[in-house]
Amino acid sequence: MGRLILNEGLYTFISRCIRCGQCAYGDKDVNFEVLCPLYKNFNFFSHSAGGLVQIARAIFEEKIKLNQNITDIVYKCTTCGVCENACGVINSINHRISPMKIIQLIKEKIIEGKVKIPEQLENIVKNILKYKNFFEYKEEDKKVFIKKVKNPDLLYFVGCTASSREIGIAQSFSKLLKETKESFIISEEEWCCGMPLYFLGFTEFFKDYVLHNIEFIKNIGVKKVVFTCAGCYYMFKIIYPLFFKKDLPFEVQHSTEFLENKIKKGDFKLEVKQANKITYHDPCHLGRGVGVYDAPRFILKKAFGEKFTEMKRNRQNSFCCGSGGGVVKKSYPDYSLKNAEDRIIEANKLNCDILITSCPACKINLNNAISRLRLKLKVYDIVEVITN
Amino acid sequence: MDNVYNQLSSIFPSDRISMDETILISYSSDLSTPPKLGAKPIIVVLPERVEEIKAIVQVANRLKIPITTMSRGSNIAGLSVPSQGGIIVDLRRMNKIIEINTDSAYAVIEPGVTFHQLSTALDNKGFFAHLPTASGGSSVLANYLMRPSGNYTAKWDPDPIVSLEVVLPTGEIVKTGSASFNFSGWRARYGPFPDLTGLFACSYGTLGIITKAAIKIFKRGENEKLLLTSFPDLNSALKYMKEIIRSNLVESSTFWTWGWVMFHEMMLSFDKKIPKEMLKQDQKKPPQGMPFGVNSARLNGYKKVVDTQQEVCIDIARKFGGDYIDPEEAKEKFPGSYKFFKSYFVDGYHLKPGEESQLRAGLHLPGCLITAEPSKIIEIEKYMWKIAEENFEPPYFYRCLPYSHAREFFFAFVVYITGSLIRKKSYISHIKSIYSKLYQDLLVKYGAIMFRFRKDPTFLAKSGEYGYLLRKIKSIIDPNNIMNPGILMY
Repeated sequence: MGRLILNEGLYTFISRCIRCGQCAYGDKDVNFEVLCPLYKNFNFFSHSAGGLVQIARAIFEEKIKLNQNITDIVYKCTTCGVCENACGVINSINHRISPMKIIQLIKEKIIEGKVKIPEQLENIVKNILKYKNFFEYKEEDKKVFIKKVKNPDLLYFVGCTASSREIGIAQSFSKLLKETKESFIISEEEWCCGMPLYFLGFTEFFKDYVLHNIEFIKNIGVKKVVFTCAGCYYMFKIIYPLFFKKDLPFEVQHSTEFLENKIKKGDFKLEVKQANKITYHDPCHLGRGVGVYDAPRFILKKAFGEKFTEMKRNRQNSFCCGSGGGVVKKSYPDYSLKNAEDRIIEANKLNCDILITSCPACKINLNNAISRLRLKLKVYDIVEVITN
Repeated sequence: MDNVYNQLSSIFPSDRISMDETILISYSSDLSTPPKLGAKPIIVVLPERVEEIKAIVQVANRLKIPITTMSRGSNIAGLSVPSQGGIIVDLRRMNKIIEINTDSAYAVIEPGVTFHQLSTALDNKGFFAHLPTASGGSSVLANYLMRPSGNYTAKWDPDPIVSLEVVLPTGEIVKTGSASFNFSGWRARYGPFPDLTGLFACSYGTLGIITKAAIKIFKRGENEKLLLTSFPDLNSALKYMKEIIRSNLVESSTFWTWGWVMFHEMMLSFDKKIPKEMLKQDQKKPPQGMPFGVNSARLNGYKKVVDTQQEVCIDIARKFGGDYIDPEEAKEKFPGSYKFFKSYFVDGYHLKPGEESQLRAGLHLPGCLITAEPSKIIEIEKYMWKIAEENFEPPYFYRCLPYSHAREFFFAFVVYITGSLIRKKSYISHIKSIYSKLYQDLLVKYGAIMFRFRKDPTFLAKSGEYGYLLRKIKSIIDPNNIMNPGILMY
């Protein structure tokens, strides 16, 4: 069993947590309701960031050994970032530490201590290491076309999900890129962004993915990389620089930010899908993770005008779809789907015919919930509703 | 152990009861728990109804197992940490606002209701409640039972509790005040009989599990206003506060030394780096352009009246050597602090969770909190500065506010520990040991009483026959001493 080694910053964090419990809750706009999927589903204090801080402290003080029950809690964390948004301890001290970082640290120690993790999680890791992607497809089976041009301006980093399970997103965004007259490339050298490896605590393996992806993009020489996957974008924007230890040698943008700029410049015309009423689900890694809330709303208001309506739980108070970048979905499918159903029920109450999101992993899980609930609601990625 | 589980699991579904070691360990410590110590509970239950609580205490009493209740868990003095193991009763699922009675100006709440929840619900009805500086996520009921160091407690009586519903350690369900009569509602604390509501105040879960409370609520006026004034010293601020409170000019008034104002500023507005002025040894001298302290007062009522009250207050401030701070000037000079003052004293809300909790988390130690007669406060201030200069590293600062028509003043002195806490472990222990001695000195020299409970048997021993009576009552109500044993003097 590995002993949790906390650096001073983390110990300071643990010592300043007053167990206020706000880490599981939204703010006034949602009447302070529980937003943390883990706490909402499992009720005990241990299943919240505040409880996990106390658990981390107990591990640190050797009051408890790393065990499978701890594993079972931390791997159900969807990394939705509600705790990051609500916790004041993060901001009270000048350290790059947070409740999520503490949860992450526990996971890393679980891996380091060789504590048994669920088989499904082990398989995710094995497959990513073997196939360099999350869905175990071989390079030749990749459903998204590889696009090569000389001296491209930007690279479209498609990600595992839009390369195999949600190719409509990749096709739609490629079409949009063409319309904007951007010279872009899609590379066969792309590996999984590494999010599953990182969030499962396999940071040593994860580093290889960081370095590979940065290196191949650097060699292509593009100044900008765009993403349709909120998870990939979060990794490049927030996590990669922590490992690369310097600024990335290119700019990164989410498709919604890219399109917002293009629309503002008048570089392309919106062709909008027919709908009576639409709403938008903020992907956690794009919203709370990176802080992109306005760009998708700018596009949707432009495209749908008054047909666009908000769910009560929106922006920083958005409720997670439960996918956890696909990792939680694969390892705890029922729990994952329960969260997606919660979200779908909220959207359905608005009498919308389309629910729009901007992450392929969210799209899959939300669609699965619709099937289980047998509803007529349709889910699309934002790039799919502004192309025909 | 299995026996407890068997008996309780017939009452609780599996998702509301656990003996899992990992789940239990999360309930075993708070900030006051020394490293590597803290007793682990043997079981945790999440009740939703009073009948379930009744069943818990009956099982615990039969098996003589300790019970520790946790309303929201934000106490940092070990009150909701099981010092002798046993059953943790986590009350967070009992979070209903049962009634808001605007006719009789009270609300009935369960222990899991937070200040965030209550403020929003009351605001919708044009009312507000006492707002303490405790976290907005903390339990209203638990906080009120310990007297809030609140922002509306100056003019009004500091005890916002009207009546209670309590499950006694032997399983009886008792209501106090007017609620004890089935048809009288919850409106009144006092009747023709002894006040039993007061028995449960500051009892910290040792006399039963409180499952409902009626609390006082107050009407929002046509005009709610923040009045900021500056003062060159505590003496002038004290005279001002006493005068404006006793003349019924304001609802609340708090004096904050410049260090506290800058602390708010650092947390809410600056880039979290501690300003160099706060690190100077002499904390009595404010930096250039800052007054020694700022008074924040709340005015509430009809606009014409409030405008006149403000004018009179400013005149009184000037008479005692203080001055008016224009809101625009305050917004520019200390925007973070202004935001805090406005949120607490006018809007009646805690700041947003992320902002608000950093003020709490920033002040790692609870500090030295006492109440004393107005005439003793100046001597206490001098004594505290001396102790601090001899023992503490800056920054340190205090706030002071009149309680209950200024019959007594609340005084809170805190040290802010900068940087890495792991490196300052021995310094933190040093501060704690100084505080222990301090409470004794403040009691003997100045008659000051500790505001919040600290595990300090020598302090309680000085309470004489009061202590004897309290033990006697406890032995009758809780004959097997199952309720939060190790707390108070039981």
